[in-house]
Amino acid sequence: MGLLDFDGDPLDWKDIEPHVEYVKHHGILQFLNNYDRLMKRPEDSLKWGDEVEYMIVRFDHDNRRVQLSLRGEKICEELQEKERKNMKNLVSLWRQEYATYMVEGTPGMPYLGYMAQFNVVEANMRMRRKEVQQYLKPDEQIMSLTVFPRLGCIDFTDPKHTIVGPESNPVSRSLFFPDQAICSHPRFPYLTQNIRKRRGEKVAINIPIFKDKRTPSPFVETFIDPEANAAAKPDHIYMDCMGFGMGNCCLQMTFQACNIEEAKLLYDQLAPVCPIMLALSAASPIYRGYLSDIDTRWQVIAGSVDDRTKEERGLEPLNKNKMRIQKSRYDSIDSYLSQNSEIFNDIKVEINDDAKKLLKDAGLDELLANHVAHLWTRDPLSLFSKKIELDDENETDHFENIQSTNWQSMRFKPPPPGSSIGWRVEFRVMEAQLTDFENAAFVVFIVLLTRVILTYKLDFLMPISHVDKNMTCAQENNAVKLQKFYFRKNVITSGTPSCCTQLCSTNTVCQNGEEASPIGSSQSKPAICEKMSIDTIINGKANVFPGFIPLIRRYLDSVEIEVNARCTITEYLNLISKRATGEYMTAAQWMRHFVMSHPDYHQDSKVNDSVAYDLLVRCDQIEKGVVKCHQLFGIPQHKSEYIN
Amino acid sequence: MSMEGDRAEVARVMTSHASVVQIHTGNIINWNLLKKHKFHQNMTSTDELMDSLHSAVQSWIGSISLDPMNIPEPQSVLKVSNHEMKAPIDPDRRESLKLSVKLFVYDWRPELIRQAVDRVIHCLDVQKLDSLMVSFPITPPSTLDAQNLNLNAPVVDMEKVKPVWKELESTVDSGHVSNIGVCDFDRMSLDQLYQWARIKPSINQINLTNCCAVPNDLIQFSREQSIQLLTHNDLPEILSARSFQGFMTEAIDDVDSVSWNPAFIARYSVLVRNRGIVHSKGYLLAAERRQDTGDQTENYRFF
Repeated sequence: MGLLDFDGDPLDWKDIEPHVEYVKHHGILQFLNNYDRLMKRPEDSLKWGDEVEYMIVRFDHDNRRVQLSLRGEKICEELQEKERKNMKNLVSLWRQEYATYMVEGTPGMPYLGYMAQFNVVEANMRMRRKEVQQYLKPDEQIMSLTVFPRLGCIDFTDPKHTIVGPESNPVSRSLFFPDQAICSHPRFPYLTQNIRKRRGEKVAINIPIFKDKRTPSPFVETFIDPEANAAAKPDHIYMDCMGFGMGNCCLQMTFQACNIEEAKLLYDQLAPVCPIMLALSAASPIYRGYLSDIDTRWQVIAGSVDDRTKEERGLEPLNKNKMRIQKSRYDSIDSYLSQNSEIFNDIKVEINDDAKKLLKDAGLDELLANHVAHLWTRDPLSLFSKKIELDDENETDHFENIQSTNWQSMRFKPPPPGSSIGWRVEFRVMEAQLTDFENAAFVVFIVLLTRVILTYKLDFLMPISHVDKNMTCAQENNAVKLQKFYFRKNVITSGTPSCCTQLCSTNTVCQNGEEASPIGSSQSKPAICEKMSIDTIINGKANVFPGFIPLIRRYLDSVEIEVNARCTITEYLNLISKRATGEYMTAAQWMRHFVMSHPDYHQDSKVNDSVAYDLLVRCDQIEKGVVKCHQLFGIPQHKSEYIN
Repeated sequence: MSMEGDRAEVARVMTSHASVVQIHTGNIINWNLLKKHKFHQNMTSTDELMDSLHSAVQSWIGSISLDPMNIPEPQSVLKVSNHEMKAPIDPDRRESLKLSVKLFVYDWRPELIRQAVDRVIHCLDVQKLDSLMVSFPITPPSTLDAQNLNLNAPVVDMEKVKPVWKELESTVDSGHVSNIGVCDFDRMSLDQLYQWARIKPSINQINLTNCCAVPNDLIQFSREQSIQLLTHNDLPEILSARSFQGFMTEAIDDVDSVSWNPAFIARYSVLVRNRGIVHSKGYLLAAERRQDTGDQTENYRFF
């Protein structure tokens, strides 16, 4: 999460409310001031980078338990020492994250557009772990685990914090997640409580429980707190605060495009890819000590920051609030950005009319204006008393405030003022994998996919409502093997005149300016997309879909790559390919399998201390290479080298 | 006869008069994938080459003028080019691009090097190539030779390589090529070349099936001498003479296709340096008719 410099006191929701319109208005002005400058930017080169979030896990070997170590925030401060001293050429940069057991690391410098850079990613990630290890106690380990299986269970933190009721946690009022696990930078606790206060009640996350042979049916938990009892749904795992979502780890990446048009293109083209990658990277089937019926964290986080009031959620008629809002402020994107994608924006999108008017009057195109105006339906949730009146020409805090608290599957990022950074696109869906090899593989795969999209001028666009349907499917238990996903059939289009297509594939004469229909097509227009399996989308299927990996391999044959980088990339593609066929399990399926075959698991969906301990010990051993796990991946040849 | 048939006939006649054919596929980066029916997962560069040669010929035939005032006069050098597939290189942007060429030569004549370089420069309208790698005519690797087993490396006869390498050096001297290199050389051959050469090889491109099992001594040597070890995915012979002859029969209905022999195939690839995007890619093929040996196999009967 972005950290803003702060000045003055953090404000409570009731004190932010009177400033909401002001902040929104000035946020737009700040965006527009910046935008004018940015349109004249010279061409930027490709730069990209990954962000990996980690947890500090404490192993209590004597008692066979695992806990989350709350020293993460302190460790992060020590890791940032070099940055504070303004040292150059750092291997990695560190950021605090929502929870005090988390740290986030990125490469010290963004990667550039050269093929050789692909061979550095994994080595850099390994160096990050080494760096953190210096600060860990002997029983602590750093793990890139998407969800801690016993998050919110009794004494899951080290040090322990006993929770007797909501009053034990004034910030979140959670029955499970201690306030002491929330990072102390005021932004985080204030966000937490302001979400709750704006909403008018605690957030309520309900995740379907996995029904095993001895799981009680219906599965109902009774809590001390009446609010919890009312909010918890039967047959669901109930969670009640921001920590359950934002206390999860994920794998994100950011690309710098050469200009705004390319940024919009990448943003649009990667949107249909999001659900596919979510399903492929699935790594989180266990919540609050229970096996759930989902494999990914997505809806948990969506629920954890859902600040919509009952009116906005459609549970009460509109009175105080202006409009109903379909989604939480954390969810998938609602519209495409580039000109020719307009026909695919088939979701009705809520708009802040004032914002839109300002943007259109300033000359912004309809699609980008809609995009920003949609983000502007959300209120600012954190504000500092001395950071209300700003210099709109040179500061963008109000813009960033709302931009950064719209947490979506993709983020479109304008260049910050006064820097050499260009237009960027952030890819945010992927789950954190256990090992650096896997994390690097997923990161490199996406970067290669963007190069392939741009080289071959591919087009993945389809109705955005289909992308949302895919997002729902992607979260299901074993989605990667069981679900089918809408995907565009004909991705090889544009870039050459249609006359050429006809010349190549048939002998029909085509009329100038009009697309001749391919021979054999029926009178009605064929459907633009079809439901396909992940295997088909990733590996291709004759006469159905070319496949991401065959396209990437074709691209690789056309560029110059040095042997070691080629070897590494080959290993990465093999991993993705085999995850797609099911030959290798996703982390989520592997964890389920591990739990369900454990002697201390009693077929009741409960993941107790003993099972959780053994699971995480194994995860740690796999990460360190001490134990080989052929179900997750084979024995990759490591060629990744760090170049200083 | 239809217009199409007429054009095909003109094409055939023009070809029958030619003793040299030069085919330029144009930029195949996008086109190639547009052949939806043809995109196989396991498509090789040979498939890609054949497809693009077919398309170049079709495009050429389609562009033949039937205007009686304008019928082309048959030349001894036949130039076939895919007119639709141009990807011009803006001279102002040249520095941001990297133009690499892999040259497959079919025999050891040193003059092929200069011919190929001139052709690429002419067709792409540039001043120089950034890198040029030569893939020498292969001798099937001896299966008894354990050393070569790993790399599928050709048995390299240095005495044949040297005159060709001298030509490559002259292209660097004349400023037409910046970096020169070889393909599929094992450590020993590379070392021999390196020791002898005036301008050292800076690239050795090897088959990628071995990319994770490259012998350490080759890696070591390359590192020490700053030779880039790149990878390729080409078959040992990208296009056999026989396949080319079959192509000439199929595509142009040439009377005497068995007399054609490919001289060289140059594959060029233009990469946008700092963005990792391929700007264009294509093939240039040159073939010659074997001098008449009196061995005329008649494939075509007039009556």
